[in-house]
Amino acid sequence: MTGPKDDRTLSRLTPLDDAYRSCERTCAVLRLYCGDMHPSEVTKRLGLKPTHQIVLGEESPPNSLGLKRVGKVNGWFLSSEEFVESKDVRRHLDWLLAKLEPNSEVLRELQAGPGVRMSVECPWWSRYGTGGPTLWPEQMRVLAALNLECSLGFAYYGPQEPAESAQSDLPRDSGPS
Amino acid sequence: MITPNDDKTRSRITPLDDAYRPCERTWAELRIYPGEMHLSRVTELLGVSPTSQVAPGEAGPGSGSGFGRAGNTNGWFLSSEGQVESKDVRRHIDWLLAKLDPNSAALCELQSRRGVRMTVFCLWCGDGSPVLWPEQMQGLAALNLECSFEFTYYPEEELDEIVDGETIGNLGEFIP
Repeated sequence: MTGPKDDRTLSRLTPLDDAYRSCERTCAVLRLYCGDMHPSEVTKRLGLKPTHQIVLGEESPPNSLGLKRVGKVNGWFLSSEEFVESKDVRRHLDWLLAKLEPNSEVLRELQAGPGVRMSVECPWWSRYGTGGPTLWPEQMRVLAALNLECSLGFAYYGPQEPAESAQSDLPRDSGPS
Repeated sequence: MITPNDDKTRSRITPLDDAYRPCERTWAELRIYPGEMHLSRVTELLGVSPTSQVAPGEAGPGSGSGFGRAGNTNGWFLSSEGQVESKDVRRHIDWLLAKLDPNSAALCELQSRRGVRMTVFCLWCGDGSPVLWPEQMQGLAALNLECSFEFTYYPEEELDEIVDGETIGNLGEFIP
């Protein structure tokens, strides 16, 4: 991936910054809703294990509150959250895209399947109530090559602990919105 | 431009939506800080007039409250604000890219000059999430432009504190 001192990056305003002060927490998640296909088929075809999945009609394992839910859709999710320690969303996208890029053909085939919908979502929790993420051409070029949209969600929970409020936000598994 | 019914867009979750209700206001702006270069030279090179600009010591355009600020750096800005009527940031970026694409070589040359910095700045005011489609990302990447978002959050209580008849900072909305 591109480092901050490459020639092409000299004219850019926002250097990579793992401490990204205005950010409280961020990650990048591929959310793949696979129609009638069982998520295990996605796992097999992509050769990647999801970090979370939901299966239509099946009860999910209990969440942190001990609640179980029955899946309303088939969903396969791959999140950077547990794997990347950075408050710069570019690092999270780099991780995710490094997983997906070798499987670009399979991803394209999946995209052509009936009822398949997918998105890369980057929730971005603000520390101060303002600010925002930056994408560099390197991330955008690969997302575009993979025909993936990128959604940037903003959240701010005030000066209180964000983790409590944010807990219900990820993963969201009710289906494509 | 890509329409929501194109084959490539079938697997995408977020269709284009000019009325995107959670968004209060959005726009996209190319911000070029050309260092020592005169602003008129940027205009000449790109073949596009800026929508605003600032120069050291010169008063910039007034804000909603009528206050202008003296610039402390050279800045050349091309904004979709007032040019595009949409609450979908993709439309704003499309507008910007359509202006810049014919001048990609000049933009690239500018980027290679010492002290020149630039970004595409996207303001997002309101709830919901801005979405970029591959078409916008491909266009920005081809121009070697970063894309930076600024979220602006106005909690309900803050809105309640606005005195009658005043403009709310960046919102630009008139509260009776």
